[in-house]
Amino acid sequence: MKVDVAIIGAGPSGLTAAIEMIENGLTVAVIDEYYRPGGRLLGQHYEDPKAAPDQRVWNGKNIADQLEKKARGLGVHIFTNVTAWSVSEKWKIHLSHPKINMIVSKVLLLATGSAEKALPIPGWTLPGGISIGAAQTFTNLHRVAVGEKVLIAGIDPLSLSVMIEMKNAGIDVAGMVLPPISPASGNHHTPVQTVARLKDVAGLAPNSFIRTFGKYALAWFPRLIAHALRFNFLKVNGVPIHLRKSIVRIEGSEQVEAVILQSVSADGKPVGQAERMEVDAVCLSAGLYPLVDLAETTGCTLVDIPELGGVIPLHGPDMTTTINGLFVAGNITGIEGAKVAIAQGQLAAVSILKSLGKNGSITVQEAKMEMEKARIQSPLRFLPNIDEGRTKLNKLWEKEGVI
Amino acid sequence: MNDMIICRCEGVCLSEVLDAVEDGANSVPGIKKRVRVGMGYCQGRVCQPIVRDILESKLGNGTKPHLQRAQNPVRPVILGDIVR
Repeated sequence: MKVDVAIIGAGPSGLTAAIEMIENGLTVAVIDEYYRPGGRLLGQHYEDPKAAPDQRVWNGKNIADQLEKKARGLGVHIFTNVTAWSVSEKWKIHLSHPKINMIVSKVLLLATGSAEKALPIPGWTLPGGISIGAAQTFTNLHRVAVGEKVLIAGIDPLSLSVMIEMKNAGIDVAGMVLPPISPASGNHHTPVQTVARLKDVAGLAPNSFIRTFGKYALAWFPRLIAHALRFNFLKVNGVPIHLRKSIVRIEGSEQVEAVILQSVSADGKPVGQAERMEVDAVCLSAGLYPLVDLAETTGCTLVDIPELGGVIPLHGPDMTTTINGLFVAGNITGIEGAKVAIAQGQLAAVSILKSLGKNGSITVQEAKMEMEKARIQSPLRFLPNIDEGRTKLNKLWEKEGVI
Repeated sequence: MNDMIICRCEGVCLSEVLDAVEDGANSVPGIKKRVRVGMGYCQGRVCQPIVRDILESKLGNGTKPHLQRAQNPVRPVILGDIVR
């Protein structure tokens, strides 16, 4: 199959880009390894207090369905359940598809998104141990309860939103605790560090309690440390958030039966006796990292920017990379929310249109401004220093990125 | 704690990863060559970030340890798809 643009990843940025490009005269194919389009949108279901009153509920699955319907209606070729296992010379995309084994395109847009970081603790591979992202998909997309009584390890914007989603679905969430302080789970999970990261979740909350808490944490942060986190027993939506307890291990012979928890001081040192809590599922949350494997095989320059979530393709403000005809959009450029991904898809699309001598529905400059707006309007930020990360990236691009 | 699984695909435990660091490994490929982390079905998508965190904290010199290079095919693929 021959198209003007091949897009890898049918998430919010990939689908948005496809629609913009086909509406302005390009032929487009989108490939995704999941069985249906939508990417991480499919699992999202929460209330967005920053949105207009009639748009408060963010139902990712509906948004994914609308994008898919629009794209298909316009004639975008969407391949699902298909793996793009290799890309070569501008551009041949090799597919695991029974009939179409290759797509040839002028431009390649990588919108491959992100992958979850694992959180290894003893017992994490027992059945009933599940990543937070998988728990979100089970809850909101497949409507399957991950357990009767669930503990969440890892207190961060994503795990808090999934906890609220699970509670809304009627699942008994027994509590949220910190990961262990160990080299294997990264040495950045002390109570103080956790609270510092949580201030960004303040806007998300569908109830006023956490909103109040977030503002409190922001305004009173120095004093909070001084008082060594007296909030050891904060409750959100009826779920205890143990900011000073960390998980030690998961126990069970055939599957998850219990967790061992340990109280810790504000800087993460063990205090007092460990305790046992019976649960049948543990959700593990350690954050996301950009999925760059396909990008790496193209030979484009990669840069490691921890503020953006890890290694990403070096790219400019218009989503161009160091390789001509290769563009990026969405979480492959840094971990942010779906609204930013949609705006990045739009931006990449108008950049690609421009590179092929066509006009988009808006200019590149307007699309950049839309992206900045989306960033400000995002209900939650996954990474606290994303702005510094973007600044760092832009400096690197100015220095090394010129093709 | 030292016998916790790190690489699920190849069944590699934390103690083996720590032994590899002891043996002089200072990059993810260095550990991979010694104990096969990241050589299984997922090609390191699950364990590579963990292995890197372990290395970073063990080496403790503030530099980010080298990651492995992604290779084609980037996903498991049946031979029939490659040769046709």
